[in-house]
Amino acid sequence: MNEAQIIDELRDKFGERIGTPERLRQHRIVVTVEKENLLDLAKFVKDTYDLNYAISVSGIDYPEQNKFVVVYHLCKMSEEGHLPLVLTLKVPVNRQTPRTPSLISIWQSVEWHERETWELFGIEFEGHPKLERLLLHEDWDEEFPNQFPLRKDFLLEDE
Amino acid sequence: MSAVGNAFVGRLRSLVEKIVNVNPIRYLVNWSKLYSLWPVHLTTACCSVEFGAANCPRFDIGRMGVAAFFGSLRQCDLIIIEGTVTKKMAKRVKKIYSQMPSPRYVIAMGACAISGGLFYNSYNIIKGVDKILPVDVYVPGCPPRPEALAHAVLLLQDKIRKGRVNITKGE
Repeated sequence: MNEAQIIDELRDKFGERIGTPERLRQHRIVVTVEKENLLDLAKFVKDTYDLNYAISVSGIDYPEQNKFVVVYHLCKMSEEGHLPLVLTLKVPVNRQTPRTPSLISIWQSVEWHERETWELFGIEFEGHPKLERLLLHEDWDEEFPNQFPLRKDFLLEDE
Repeated sequence: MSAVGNAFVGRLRSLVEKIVNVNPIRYLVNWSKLYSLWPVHLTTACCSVEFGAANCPRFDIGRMGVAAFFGSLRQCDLIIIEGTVTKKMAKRVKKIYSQMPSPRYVIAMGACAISGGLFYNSYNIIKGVDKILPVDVYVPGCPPRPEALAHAVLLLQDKIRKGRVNITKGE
C-alpha cells in the first residue's frame, strides 16, 4: 500500500473531520486533526495500518497564532524492524487552555513522552494516569512558578 | 566514651597533628597519598570519553598513580567532575562527595564543570561545580585533551605534596 492509497482511504473514511492528509515525501504522511476526532483517527490508523508503535510525542509553540501543536509520530515495529511508513498526527491546541486527550489507551509507549510534553510545554493530557515531574529538577516550582521552559515566552538569562 | 576520654583523645589528636606536620614526617605522609588516587566512577557528561582515553594505554594516567574508576565510594579519594552538572544531578554529586572519606580531592574537568560552558544560560545547569564542591584543580577545554587531564593530576599531586596534613574530623 503506497502513500496515495492511504491518503485516499483516510479522506474517504474521515472526510471533513480531519485536515487534508499531506504526503511529505516517500513513506511520510502528515495529518492534521482536531482534538475531538483524535481518538477515532488514532484507533483507525492503529487497526488498519497496524501502526503499533508511537515513536515520539512533541510540542510546537506558535505564539503569534495563539496555539500549540502536539505532534505524534507513529510507525510499525515488526520482526523485520521498522516498516517504512511513518504517519504524523498534528493536533492544534488552544494556547490559553492547552488540553488534549491522551493517547495512552491506544499506545502505552506515549506515557513518558506525554509527561515530558506536559512538563516542558504545560499541555494537559486528559486521561493520562500520572502527570508528574519527569526531567526537570525537584525545586522547579519554587524557582520558576508556572513557567514552562520550551515555550517561546520563557526567556533565558541574557535574552 | 566519658568526658575525660574525649578530652584525652582530643588532645591526642592535636598532638598527633603537630607531630605529623613536622617536615620529614609530613613529606612521608603526603608522599604515601600521592600515588594512590582512587577516582569515583561518576560520569555526568561527555568529558568522560576523554577520561576513558586518559586511562587507556596510549595516555595511561595510571602510571602517574591514578587507579581506574572504582565502584565503592568509601574507598575513593578523588572525584573528577566530567562535564555538565545539572541541578538534578548536583544533589546527587553532593551526596556522593559526602560519602567519600577525607582527605578527598576534586578535579573540575571541562568548560561546563568550570563555568557552565556551552549551557551557561540554561535553566537546568549549575554554573560551575565550585558552587557545590571545593575544587582543587580546574581543567579547561571542551573537552580537555587527555594530556590536559594528566597535567591536572600532576598539579593535584604537587598540591598534595606541599599541603599540610589535616587529620581533624570533617576536614
